[in-house]
Amino acid sequence: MSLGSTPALPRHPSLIAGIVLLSIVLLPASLSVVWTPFPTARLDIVHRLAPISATHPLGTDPFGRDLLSILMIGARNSLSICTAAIALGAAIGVPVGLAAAASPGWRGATLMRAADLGLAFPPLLTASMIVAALGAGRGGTILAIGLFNAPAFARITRVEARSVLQRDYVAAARIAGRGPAAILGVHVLPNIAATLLVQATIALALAILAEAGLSYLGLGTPPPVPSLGRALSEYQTQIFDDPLLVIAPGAAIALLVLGLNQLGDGLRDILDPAVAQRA
Amino acid sequence: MNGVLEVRDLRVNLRQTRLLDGIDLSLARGEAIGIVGESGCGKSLFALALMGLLPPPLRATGSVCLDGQNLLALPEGAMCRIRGKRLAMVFQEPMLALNPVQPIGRQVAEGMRLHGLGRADAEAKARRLLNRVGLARVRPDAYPHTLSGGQRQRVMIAIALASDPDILIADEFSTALDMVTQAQIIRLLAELSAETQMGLLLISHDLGLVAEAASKTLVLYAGRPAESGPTRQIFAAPRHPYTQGLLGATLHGTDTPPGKVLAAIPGQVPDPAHRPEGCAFAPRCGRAAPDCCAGVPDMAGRNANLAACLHPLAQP
Amino acid sequence: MTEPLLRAKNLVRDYPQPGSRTKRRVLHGIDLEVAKGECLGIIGESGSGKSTLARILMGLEAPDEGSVTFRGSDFFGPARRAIRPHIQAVFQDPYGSLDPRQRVGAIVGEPLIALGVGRAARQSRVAAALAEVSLPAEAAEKYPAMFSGGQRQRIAIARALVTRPALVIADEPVSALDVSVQAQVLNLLVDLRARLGLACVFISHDLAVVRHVAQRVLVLQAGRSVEQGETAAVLRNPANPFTRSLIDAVPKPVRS
Repeated sequence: MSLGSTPALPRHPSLIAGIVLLSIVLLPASLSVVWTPFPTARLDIVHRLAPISATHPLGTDPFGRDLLSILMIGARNSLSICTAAIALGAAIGVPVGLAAAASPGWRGATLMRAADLGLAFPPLLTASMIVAALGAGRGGTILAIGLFNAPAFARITRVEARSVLQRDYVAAARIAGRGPAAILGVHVLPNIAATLLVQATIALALAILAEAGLSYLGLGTPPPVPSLGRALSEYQTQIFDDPLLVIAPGAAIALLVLGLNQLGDGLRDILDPAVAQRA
Repeated sequence: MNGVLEVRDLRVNLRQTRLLDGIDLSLARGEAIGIVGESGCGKSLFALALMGLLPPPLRATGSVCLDGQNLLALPEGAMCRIRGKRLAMVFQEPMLALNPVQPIGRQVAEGMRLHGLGRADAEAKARRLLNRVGLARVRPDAYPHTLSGGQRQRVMIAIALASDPDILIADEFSTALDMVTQAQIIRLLAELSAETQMGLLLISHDLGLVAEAASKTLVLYAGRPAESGPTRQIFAAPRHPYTQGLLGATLHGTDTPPGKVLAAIPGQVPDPAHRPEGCAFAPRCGRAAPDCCAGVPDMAGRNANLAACLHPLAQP
Repeated sequence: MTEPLLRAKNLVRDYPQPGSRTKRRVLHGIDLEVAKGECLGIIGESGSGKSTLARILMGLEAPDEGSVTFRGSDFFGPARRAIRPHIQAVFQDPYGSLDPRQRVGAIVGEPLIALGVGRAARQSRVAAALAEVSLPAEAAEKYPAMFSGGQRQRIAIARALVTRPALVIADEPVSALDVSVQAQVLNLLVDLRARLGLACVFISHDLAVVRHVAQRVLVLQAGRSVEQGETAAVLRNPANPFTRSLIDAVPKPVRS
């Protein structure tokens, strides 16, 4: 029973909130690709620990570097590293999940147990091991966070794919003579893409936190490249003299994480009912 | 006319859209009325409106009088005392309506306990009710998932009967069931109605099925009444072209020979938000005349058979 | 005696039971035949094994014992790929049998992809199939969400026709539809059978519907075939009490 062909569009507070919060950080971060108010490599001891002013909207750090510029580049780095990491995790996890869903019996079960093995490793230790082997830096961080995310993608892909594989339209595709690879690519993947997107958004939020944590511990982005997490660790001794130095990077991380969580919720609200809705 | 249930000009609105547009109904004690229609006709909304269970953006206007008392005017607290006690409802999907973690005996007894009966009495009565609905061989401590679809539907009926309601509304109760079980359930409902003088509202898309038990039928189309009257008369000599189309397309309850081309009604049921001007059926009607688009026809006719049509089919 | 189009012999199917070593037997040795251009109705209630039988006849599951032959060749043997295009299927749920992310043209044309039919030829055959089910050619550009239940079922039928099969297995094809829409789809199926010489296996729980479309009928109860024969004869004189109970369950014509 349809209640009208154009139902009043439900408000999407989560989606809007998410986009707004993310934009606060995303816009300056994107801008930093071409321009920052001040270069961050150069030290300027004369202007160290300057208060908020017109030239330095967030003041300067103990080495005289403009805090706003540092945060812009730091946010950009966080986002680019974490997006790469999530992409890596999905690139590994989704095919494993699809293969597990399409393989009945012990083969599928073995794949999932392998994925569970990945989950069994404490992420911080895994990250430390990788960094110890490869040295601190973008590559190590991306690898560590990506590997940590892969099992989660594998699990959710498998669950969703199995449910799609039960549908009549997949049976129809088999009757049409389509092979298993074609069925996974043409019928399963497009129909689980929405759920995977929501998963990716939430995972990205967690990745931001993870990267900040790794950088804080010195295992992430090495100096002199600006980093939100490392900024927290470098400036924490100034917390009573110049609290803004610590509050600002912390707020940037919080905004990113909160914004991504809200975006994920909002996407789920929009995408799931649309998928479930009938004509 | 004083039936136990009198519905006058019931309308259900969703903001600007009129989903149900002016339903009249009179149900006497011990009588069974069938409410028949296809998707989008509003029959399930009708049931929810009677029970006061319309979800909030939907609002009902008009009057629904149970023994003279207008249910639509009652506050929720008073309605709760009536719902389940005097007005009971059986739903389409028994597996969804039954609590999977409670034994069936307890679910039947629960309603009675809520309305004041003591524990031992309620359990004894529950046992009797389960026997009455044909579940004598099922233990009261069985869980819903161990029962078949038909058995679960019988449990739903037992729950509905637990408080000796004045009226039982069965909303599409048969769709999830096999033909043999459907037939048994319909017979059971008819017997119970005769025994306890309970009024019965059978809501279904299946005209033939409803005809087995209902002495009167109301046919709905796109939220409006199309035809109402004694079931036999509607089958023998329908006045509204939609009813005739529906009968021509129905295999249940009719004598259609095998292989005969069924009278398929061209087109589709209109969306309530986009009903055509005038008669909602006119665009699909073979007898439509210019005045059919001028205004919504009222239910009219001689004796008991009413049809909302300006050019009804001739009576033989 | 001409070879029947489809012959199933002694079909047995077992399903594992969770929490138990023994398997549950769902089909206890079913025999059936479908002649060219004939419609066989299979009547069964829920739990009778009709869905399992449907899946075996559609080629989605192999029987644990027994065989299915099409024009003499084993459906589950090496000839399987060659037989595939000749046996197509229509499912019960019009909302679940069409991929919501694909356009109608791609859905209807899918069986032709495996046959190696080129894009242009696919398009024209899809348009022809849509015309057979009285849908406009423009429908190919739209998504399933824009169509009603009855229209979707017609799209599913178009998909089943596009390889010009000899046999269509229809599993409860009209049960989920409104009465007047059921009539449209039933008329279509009867008409296609007459015009294209299409054979059909029509599975349903509704005896009235099966009586309307099928020349021969098989009654399934708890995984066993309890009665088989010409529809009119079986319904006039059922040998089996279960068949009799099914006949009695059909709502009688209302007399004035």
